[in-house]
Amino acid sequence: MCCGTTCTIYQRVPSEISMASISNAFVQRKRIARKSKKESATRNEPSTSATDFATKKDHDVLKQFDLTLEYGPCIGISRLDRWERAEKHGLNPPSEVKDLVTSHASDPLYTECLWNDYTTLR
Amino acid sequence: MIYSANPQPVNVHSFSTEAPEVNPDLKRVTSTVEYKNDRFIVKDRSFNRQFAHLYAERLMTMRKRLTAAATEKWGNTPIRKLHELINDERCIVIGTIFKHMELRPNILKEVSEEHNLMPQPIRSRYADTKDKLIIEDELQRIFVVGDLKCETSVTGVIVAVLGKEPEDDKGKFHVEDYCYQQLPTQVPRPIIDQDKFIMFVSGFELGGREERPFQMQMLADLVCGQLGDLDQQEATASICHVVVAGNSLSESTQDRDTLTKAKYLSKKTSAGSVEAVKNLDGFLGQLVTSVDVTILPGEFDPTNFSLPQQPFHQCMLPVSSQYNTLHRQTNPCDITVDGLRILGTAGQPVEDIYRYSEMEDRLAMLENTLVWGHTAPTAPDTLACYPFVKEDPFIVSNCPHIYFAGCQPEYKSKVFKGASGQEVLLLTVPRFSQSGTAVLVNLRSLEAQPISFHSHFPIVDESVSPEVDK
Repeated sequence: MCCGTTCTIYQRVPSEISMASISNAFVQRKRIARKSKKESATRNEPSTSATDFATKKDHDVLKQFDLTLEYGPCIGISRLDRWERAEKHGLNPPSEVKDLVTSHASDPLYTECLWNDYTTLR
Repeated sequence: MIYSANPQPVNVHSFSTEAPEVNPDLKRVTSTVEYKNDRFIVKDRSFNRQFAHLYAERLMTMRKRLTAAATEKWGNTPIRKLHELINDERCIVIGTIFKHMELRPNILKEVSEEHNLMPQPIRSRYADTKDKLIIEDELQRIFVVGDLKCETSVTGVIVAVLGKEPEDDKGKFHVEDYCYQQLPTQVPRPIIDQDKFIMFVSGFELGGREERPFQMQMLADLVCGQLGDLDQQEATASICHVVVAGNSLSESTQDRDTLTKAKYLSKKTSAGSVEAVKNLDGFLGQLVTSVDVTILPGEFDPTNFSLPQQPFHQCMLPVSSQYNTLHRQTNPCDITVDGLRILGTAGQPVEDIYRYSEMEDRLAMLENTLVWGHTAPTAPDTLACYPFVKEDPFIVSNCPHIYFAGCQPEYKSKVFKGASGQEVLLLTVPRFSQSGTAVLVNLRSLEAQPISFHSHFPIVDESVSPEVDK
């Protein structure tokens, strides 16, 4: 019977290989817990690592846009409004941000700033 | 012409002689009036926004203009953001001024329990010699010492300073020179062939103890042509517009006692403003029958408190609103009469600058707001303001020909000459309740003159017993 915990396997590296960094000294291999087949069927989309990586990249881009203070304060204003304000004043905000926000116009994770959940800050 | 610069004493005895013929029909001069107050009308009242966006908008808009002005004045000196400052490098910094004032009422000091202090007393002026100036851009702030004087600056002005941060005095920016935006180019004044006048009046303060109903009636009679001999009436016929610049109601109409008193005491009494607004409507009703009237709300008028104040609602002025010559406008107001651009407020920004700086001359403060390029720089810091996000409507983008502030203690006027030939008539309109004075501005020559309404009733000395006629 397998319990749902992960276990890591360490593998010792022969000493002849040069240790460029500490993290390469011991190679880690994680064993992902075997989930039951039922759980995987109820998931809406099979989240493949590719789309996960893409959305994470998107969020990173948007986060960088939020944190660039040259475009003004980010809290209390939607990302599209802020982008348009930056565009209006000739600050050349990346057009990638606008594309991302307009393509996901219904998703508040895209349209609103990073601190949107903190309602007391707004 | 009576209202000329040197009036000649002709027809002085016309009152004592009989009128030889029937008075000719005198027609009032007409003029085209346009209002460009769209930016001051608040359309969606969402108060969830922070004021940081207004300041960001102000800085971003003015930064472009200041960059142009700074490069023109100081050549190729580099313009640096505060986080890019290099020690001992002579550079230009563009940012917002913040004036740190010790005497300024601070909510944190009030609620601070460890100090156990009494709440700070209400003063008329909060400026002090120990105030410090700080300049802020989008990312950082730094203290400013040197040429930029603390006494004449207020929070919220966008300025470009030339100087350096010395190695031995880090944290302070030593200023050699500073500049503001260049006054925008002015559309040349249209050539008007005849004398046309605009009358500016403010501070009627109806409903208060200082109201002057007799003088107000004299003003209405004069403007409608019912006062004076033929010369006077001819002169009055050249008044094409009347601007009532704020505080038509008195401060005492804003009395909130009825809210705190028990209901049984205040049931029958109506608000002081109801009677006062009725009187105002009656007064305006006389004026609008014969001349275009623009009315601006002021500090004590029944409209919203924060700038920009929205126009009087037409329900409040039922009789006069029926005429299309009554124009209820916002405060601040942007009027164009016959191509001449007039910009003005009911005086709250100037009053606020008076409170938070050490300047004495109101006209100088008005001139400074024009030089700084912003009609109300202390908004939203100490002057209540709507949290705009998309634009800052108080920035001066078009150079006016006449720039006025109402409800001031005295009448003063001056022609301000700009760097590229602009000429602006600066005007402080006095409170009618205190001075009985209105201001007439000649549109042809941009000259201003006061016109006073006085009634000298002999003061009866009650202490002396009346002598019986012998």
